[in-house]
Amino acid sequence: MIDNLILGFQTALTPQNLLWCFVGVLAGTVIGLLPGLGSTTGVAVLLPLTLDFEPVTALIMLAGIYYGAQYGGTITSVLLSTPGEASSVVTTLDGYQMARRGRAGAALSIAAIGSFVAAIFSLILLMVLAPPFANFALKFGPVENLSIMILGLATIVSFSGESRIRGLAMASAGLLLATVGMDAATGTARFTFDNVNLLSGVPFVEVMIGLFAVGEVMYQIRVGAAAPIRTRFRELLITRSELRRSIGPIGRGSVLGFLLGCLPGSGSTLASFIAYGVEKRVSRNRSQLGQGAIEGVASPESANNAAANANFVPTLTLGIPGGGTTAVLLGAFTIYGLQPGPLLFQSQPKLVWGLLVSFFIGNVMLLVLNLPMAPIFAQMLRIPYAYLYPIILFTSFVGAYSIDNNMFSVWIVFVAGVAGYFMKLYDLPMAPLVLGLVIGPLFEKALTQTSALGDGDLLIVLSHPIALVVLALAVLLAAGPSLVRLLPRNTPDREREPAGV
Amino acid sequence: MSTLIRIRGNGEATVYAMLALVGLAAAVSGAFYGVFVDGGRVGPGFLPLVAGGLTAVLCGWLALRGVHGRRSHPPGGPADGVEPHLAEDINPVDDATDDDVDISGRTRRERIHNLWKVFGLTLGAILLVQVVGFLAAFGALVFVISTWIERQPLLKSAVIAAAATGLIYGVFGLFLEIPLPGGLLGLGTEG
Repeated sequence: MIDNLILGFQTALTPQNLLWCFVGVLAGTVIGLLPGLGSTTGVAVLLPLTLDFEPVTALIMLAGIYYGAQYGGTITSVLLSTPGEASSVVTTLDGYQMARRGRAGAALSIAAIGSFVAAIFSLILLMVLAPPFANFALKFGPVENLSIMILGLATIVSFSGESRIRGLAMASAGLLLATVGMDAATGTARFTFDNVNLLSGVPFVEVMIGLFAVGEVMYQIRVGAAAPIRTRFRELLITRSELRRSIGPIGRGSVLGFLLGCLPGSGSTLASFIAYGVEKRVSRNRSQLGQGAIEGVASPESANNAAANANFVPTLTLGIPGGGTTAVLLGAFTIYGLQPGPLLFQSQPKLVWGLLVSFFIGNVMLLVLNLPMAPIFAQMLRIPYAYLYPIILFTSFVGAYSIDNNMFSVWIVFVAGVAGYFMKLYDLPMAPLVLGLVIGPLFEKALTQTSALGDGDLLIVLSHPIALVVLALAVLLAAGPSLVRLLPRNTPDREREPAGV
Repeated sequence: MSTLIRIRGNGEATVYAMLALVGLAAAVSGAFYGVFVDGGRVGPGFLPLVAGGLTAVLCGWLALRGVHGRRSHPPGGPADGVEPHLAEDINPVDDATDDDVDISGRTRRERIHNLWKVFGLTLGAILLVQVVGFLAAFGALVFVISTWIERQPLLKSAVIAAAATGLIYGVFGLFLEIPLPGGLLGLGTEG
């Protein structure tokens, strides 16, 4: 462990990696705070810039964008009531109310402090737990991998609240999309319509750029711009009472965020909602939640940062994405010729530990950047969106083109952009679609291998204890919300609580 | 009114119905790829059949529920993962009417018109890449959107479009050496 940490620091502290870590967290903050851009978009669009980098440097920068965006997304949520990041959606409830009462600075400060504490807490757990888990995962065969991917799909579907059926529909649509191209086992070309570009499948990063960048930009044009609330340096000071009230929520948010973030496919949005829901039940000031309570900012912001780091547990140890952004990062690993999974810790210790240690460094940079400079970042919200979104479109398309130097990528982005707009408009959940698309090839491979192991009998899964436990967990997750609804309810207030929160 | 007409009149139901049709087509095609191979093992058509079938059934049900049952969300509904009752507080846009005016003074109807214009212009820019090159086509897109759609000052828009094009040229063309198509005018970084 100590040797690994030393190796990590030696890797992360090179001038080059420090510089790109800083660029990543700064870009992430800016990307997170701009409406219409999120960490998934940022990583997808900027991924082509890193193609010439050393893999460790590239991943340090891209991961910096990911957790930097968690900080930046808060600024927009608080000042505009428009989340810059999906994981900051719930922060708008209390953050914006605090801003309207002149406490925007305090909301931003506690968000930065909570995010930092949660990030460090979850990183320690990540470093302690990921290596033994990776060792354990070495015992996994196709049957166990198949069950874990089913768990991932069940997780993301089960936490879609009332939209579980839509979540399942989108996850199956994602799996279906993943079948486009040549079947790895038999070489059969499926749904390619004689287009050679489709033989290798639907290009994942281009789809991400289309869905999250172009689709989001189009949606923002429809929504229209809102006026940001001003914040000043002196408002950044938080009172002793606010700090005291935030300690519990930060602790609860950190623990919940880490636990939920470890589930494949859960992302960080889910953690922020669950953390907010828990505060609504246990906080001493729960009656003030929704009206500008600092707990409503501290808890979800801690949870989303803890979850962002915990998302790397399934991503690095199993090769199964923890959420949308880690799905893009998984794509980046493949582009750099790396195979995430249990062997990564053994075959690429420098990369893994350099990356993990860079999270520490990046979070320190973010705290230093965000505490005193939040009002300066907030000024960026004054850039007219009229100028911003055409440039986002330009960058998205040129970024997509540069992945394969092919106009086909540009068309994929356009089509995915149209799809992304309608998905956003009609609230079709994107995360299950993305997860289905990413794990589709892995899922099919595991399915084929499992079928071969059982000579065509997929019930062989039942003879593998680990797979059985994981599948039972998946069934519990999928059926859990429905079972909870069957429980008797005591008060009218409880009936108003959302499912899954 | 028949179910089909009601689906066509409901945007959300139409989207689900289209997805259901795609799923159905994929499931049928999957059967032709071979659902099982030798020894009863999973074949190349298995996943398309299962995923396509599931998509067809679920999306078909959602489409029908959209027109016969209660509507799950109004257009412009909550973001991913947002619980419906929370979303009511978060997205003031949900209940937007034509009187809903944004910071730049545009009504909802104007914004939707602009949206389709931007879609059209983007499509035009992609088609123009082969003629005028990538940088010129998308540089022009930035300029046209800023001036025509967003009604920003001509000179300021021109400066911003030129700066954006220059930056993209520097980063992608020179630094990353991406061979951006030059079109008939040769304004790219190919070769």
